[in-house]
Amino acid sequence: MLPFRLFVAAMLSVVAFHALCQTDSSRAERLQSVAALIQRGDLSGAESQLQSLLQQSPGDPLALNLLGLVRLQQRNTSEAERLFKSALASGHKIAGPHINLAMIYAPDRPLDAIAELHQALAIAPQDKQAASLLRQVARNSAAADIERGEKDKALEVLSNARAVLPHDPELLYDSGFVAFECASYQDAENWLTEALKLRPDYPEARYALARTYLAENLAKPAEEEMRKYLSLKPDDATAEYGLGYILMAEQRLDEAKIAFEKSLTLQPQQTESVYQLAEIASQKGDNLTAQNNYTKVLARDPRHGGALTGLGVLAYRAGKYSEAKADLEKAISAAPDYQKAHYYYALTLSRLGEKTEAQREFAIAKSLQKEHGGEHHLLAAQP
Amino acid sequence: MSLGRGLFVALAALALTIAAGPPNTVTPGKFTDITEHCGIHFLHRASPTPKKYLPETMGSGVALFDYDNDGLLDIYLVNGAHLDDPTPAGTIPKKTEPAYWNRLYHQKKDGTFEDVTERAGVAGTGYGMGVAVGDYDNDGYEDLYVTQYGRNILYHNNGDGTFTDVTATAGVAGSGWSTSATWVDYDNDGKLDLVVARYMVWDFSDIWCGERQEGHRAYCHPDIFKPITFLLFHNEDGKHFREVSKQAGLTIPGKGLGVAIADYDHDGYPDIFVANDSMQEFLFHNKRNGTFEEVGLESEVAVDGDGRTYAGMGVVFSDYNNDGWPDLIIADLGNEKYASYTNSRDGSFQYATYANGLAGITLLHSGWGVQAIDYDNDGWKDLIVAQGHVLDTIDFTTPTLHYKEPPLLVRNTGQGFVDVSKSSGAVFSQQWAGRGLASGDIDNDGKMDVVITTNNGPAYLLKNETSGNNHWLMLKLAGTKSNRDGIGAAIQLKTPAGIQYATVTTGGSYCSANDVRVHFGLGQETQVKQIEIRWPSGIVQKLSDVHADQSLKVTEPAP
Repeated sequence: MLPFRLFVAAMLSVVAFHALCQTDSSRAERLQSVAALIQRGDLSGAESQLQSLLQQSPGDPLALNLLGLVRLQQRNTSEAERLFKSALASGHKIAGPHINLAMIYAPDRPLDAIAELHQALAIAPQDKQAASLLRQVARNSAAADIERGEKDKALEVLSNARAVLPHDPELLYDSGFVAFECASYQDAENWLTEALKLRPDYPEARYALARTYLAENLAKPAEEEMRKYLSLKPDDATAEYGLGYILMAEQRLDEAKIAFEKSLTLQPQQTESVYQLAEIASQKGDNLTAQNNYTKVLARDPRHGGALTGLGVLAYRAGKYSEAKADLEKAISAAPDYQKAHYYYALTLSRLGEKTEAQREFAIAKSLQKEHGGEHHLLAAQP
Repeated sequence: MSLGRGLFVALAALALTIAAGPPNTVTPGKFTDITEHCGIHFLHRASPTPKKYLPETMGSGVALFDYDNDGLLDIYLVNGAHLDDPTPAGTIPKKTEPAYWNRLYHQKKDGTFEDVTERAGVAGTGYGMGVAVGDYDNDGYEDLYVTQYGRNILYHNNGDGTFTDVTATAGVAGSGWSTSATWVDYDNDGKLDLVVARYMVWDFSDIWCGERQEGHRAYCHPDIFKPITFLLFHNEDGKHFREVSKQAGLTIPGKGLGVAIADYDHDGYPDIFVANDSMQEFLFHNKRNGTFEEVGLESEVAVDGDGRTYAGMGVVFSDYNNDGWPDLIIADLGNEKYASYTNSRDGSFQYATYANGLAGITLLHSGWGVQAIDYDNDGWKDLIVAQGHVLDTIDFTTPTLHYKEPPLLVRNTGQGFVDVSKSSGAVFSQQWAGRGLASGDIDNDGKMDVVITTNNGPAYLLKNETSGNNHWLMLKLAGTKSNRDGIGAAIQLKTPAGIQYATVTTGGSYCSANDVRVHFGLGQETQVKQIEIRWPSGIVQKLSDVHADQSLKVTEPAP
């Protein structure tokens, strides 16, 4: 929700604009002086003048609109809403009451707020504040929806906002972001691409598009976008990790290693980069480096399922089955859904002669593939 | 604005690899498509329907064998059959016209081929899948076993250019959906037995898979069908077979597409590997008493190195690292990486796809027929793979994968694999729905050639014209106490450059049968210091100082 002080400032400005444009000069001066009183917090002075104006002209939409603002300041929202609607009922095409109604609706009825702002912009298409408010209402509302896990609702709000402001890069970015969260990767790709056409140096959108391509198994374009992002934000350790991650997906391990190492130079606490370096070393057969890196990871995060599994695998490969068993048991305790841990636990049990238990673990490993469709990893949603 | 942070579900198959081989030491091959020139005009007919019946996309196999003993390899190509739309559940499709016939091409002395299908009597009867070659009656002529959907066929080679369908007498018709098959004398009694992989319990029921919109219907994933047991036919007397799967312990159901044999633990008895589709792979260890034990898990070949199953299709069971022990390579679908396992020499294997560079090479490929051939005769077995995704909708659902793909040629540097496809001829740029693949030296020039089949498309004969002056040796075994083909014999070859090891087999790959002769590249060696052959009978034969660049027939000595 927008801060209340910002509400008033924005409303007064809109009121002033419309006051000057749509009424005679003396009346406009009086309305402006009322607006100034409201801004100063002199609500009784403002009310007195407004009542006088309304006595002379009971249906004056601008006076009704300002009186609605007074009620709003007085926390009488329902009366304020009635007054704004009355202002609109006069038939005059003024944007202010629509914007003010949008303010009332924004916290709980974002779609209604957007509809009001839509009407305001239809009347005053160049009204930057209305557009800005619409953007903020939609984005704040979508963020709140996401926090609540209501992704579809977030998408609906953003979709309505985009219908009013189709070329707004921020709305497009948010739409893409939320679509990604909803696993609607094609939509995400479309919106993020559109956002970047409008604002090529939009780093967050570049990062989000890289993630989207990766989720679509399009490693090459993902890499391209992540590199573009890094050209905008060269010191972003998270993105360097992301680049390494993408390069690993492309099986380009040597380049991935460089990216992970760079991310660690930028941010030595990037535990996941250390973990990935351990994985690379393990696959290369550099067991000592792998072990050192797994150990480093575990020093920072003693329940890191991947690192515990990595140590277990190294022990298994070395024929140290009891050690492997202990490590893998810890790994499974830390990450019960990690298929690789169960698989190596099954192999270890088999080597220890515990055939029945080995088969059970193997069955668990298989079932995890069914449930998850493969290995999932964490990468920050935003740089 | 602060939107929530969420889990990032990345590529399902994130993995690591090591480009083990020196990347700059690339020796390209040269393979040339000589199909038309040689007079081969085969067209596989899959009978695609809007119903997306699964057999329509599984393709078929090819055999390279010398059926008339004239010293030249002939080609047998398996074909589909007509399918109605709809085809009622339970239907066993028939070949309704010659367009669906399997074809036997006889190689003439000038290197061209003639279609002798009709005269030979090997046109097949139903929806064909695979072919296995072996001299099951030890009469000196290679026989053909053709797998089909519904009922398989055993063609006995009469030795006069004709074959006789002896399926009923022999008792090897089987049932269900058979795919790859191979001949193996699993009990070392001197007669070839037959192992047949079956795919799954499947009929022509109309099941919609994929999105319910025009053009989006897809072939169903094997997960929705039940697995089925394999068939093992014991050769009783050279004429009759007995189905012994149960007695032999092959009772565990799978979804077999590929089958290969080798004695992975050097105990003198051939073991069987079955590549299963989207479930764990099977390694049947021969217990030397006529029974097998499935040891895939404890041998570490059941799944990939991360514990994941994959869509096993074609398989190679061959010593690719020249340590004297058979290793495994299994072709699978895109994003799975072809699985390779090096033999740890203790009854287990180690997943090697990352370490040997295959992960990076094969991540986005889908492979079927696969063979380990030393295309440049440098002494290291390389890989050639027929490729193409199983789903003809994959290009628009997963743009990084393709229904049609070029074949893959991967060079073995001795330290890892390097993709040399792009520099090895125009055939490696062709987009094919590759399926079957058989290897053999078609023109007896000491270089291994291949035939690739495509789904609902032509077959391609690829002649190996790789340059270089490396030497070679080809061995054709003739068993006396052992089976006539010497299938299952283990050959160890020693040169100053090192040791090579091979198992005599016509099996492996996908639904296909390879040249029974064993080919060795010798690099710069002009002579082989020693060859040791361990025959299935147990007889060990040693040959010394064998000259290179010849095809040598070796007869099993008397005990």
